[in-house]
Amino acid sequence: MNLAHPRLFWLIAPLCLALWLILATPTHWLGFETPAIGTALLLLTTWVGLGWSTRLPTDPQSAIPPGEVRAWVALVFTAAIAALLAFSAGRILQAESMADLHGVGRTFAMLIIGWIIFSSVLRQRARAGVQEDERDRDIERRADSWAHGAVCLLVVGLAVTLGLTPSDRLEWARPVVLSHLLIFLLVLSSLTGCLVTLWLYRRDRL
Amino acid sequence: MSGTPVGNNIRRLRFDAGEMTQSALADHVGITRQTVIALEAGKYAPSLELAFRIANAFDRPIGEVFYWESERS
Repeated sequence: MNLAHPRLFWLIAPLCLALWLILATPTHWLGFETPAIGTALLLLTTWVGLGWSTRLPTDPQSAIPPGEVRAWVALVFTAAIAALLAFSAGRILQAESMADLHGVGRTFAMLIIGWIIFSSVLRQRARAGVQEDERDRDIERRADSWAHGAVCLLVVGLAVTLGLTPSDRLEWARPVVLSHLLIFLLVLSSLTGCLVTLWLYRRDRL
Repeated sequence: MSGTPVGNNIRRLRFDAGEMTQSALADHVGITRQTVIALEAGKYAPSLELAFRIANAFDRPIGEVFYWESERS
């Protein structure tokens, strides 16, 4: 995709608006929660972006394989989830129970469901021809290996931090905070997998 | 990163086979066109099974399609 393409503005602008609606403090607009509107806008923008990317005149040598398209979609949604958790860190640290975070949990669930539905529709609308082969599976295997390494490293890091920190300095480590922290580590490992996948596809083209 | 030490003559063999397109070869052997591109660019070393399938697609022995780079230098 040509990054200088003028249509890119019409993708980035609504994408930024969607992320702002998701990450901003939950409010209501016309009776709807703004994170819900943001998630819907994110899904729509991603869908339109994929539609445009298939119509843009591209160099045949740089055509994007289906596996890479799936990795880009995964990156967008994983990054949105990571950003949601990072921007909600203040609220999570102050929460006493999950009930205090229902806005974050709902947006999180909507992003996951949206991602699943989007990926499912994308697979069904895939054009004729081979969609995946041994090179895609090899790239997926190597990315999974990196993601596995990342999650091991992050969990060991967290365990060592918790184990070596005096208990009087761990007042913040309530169950609700730790559960979100573990989910965040999982999302980071998934993000690592997406980035490695995209890097491996790009390396094959260079 | 540099490419694989396994070289190939796929591009030449495609043209010898009536200018077979990358898509046609990909569909024939059950891989994506981007993998054909990666193979021709020397960025990807195929499995033994895929190497045989490609050689069969051109009706050539595998040694005529793939070679070890040091054998050429």
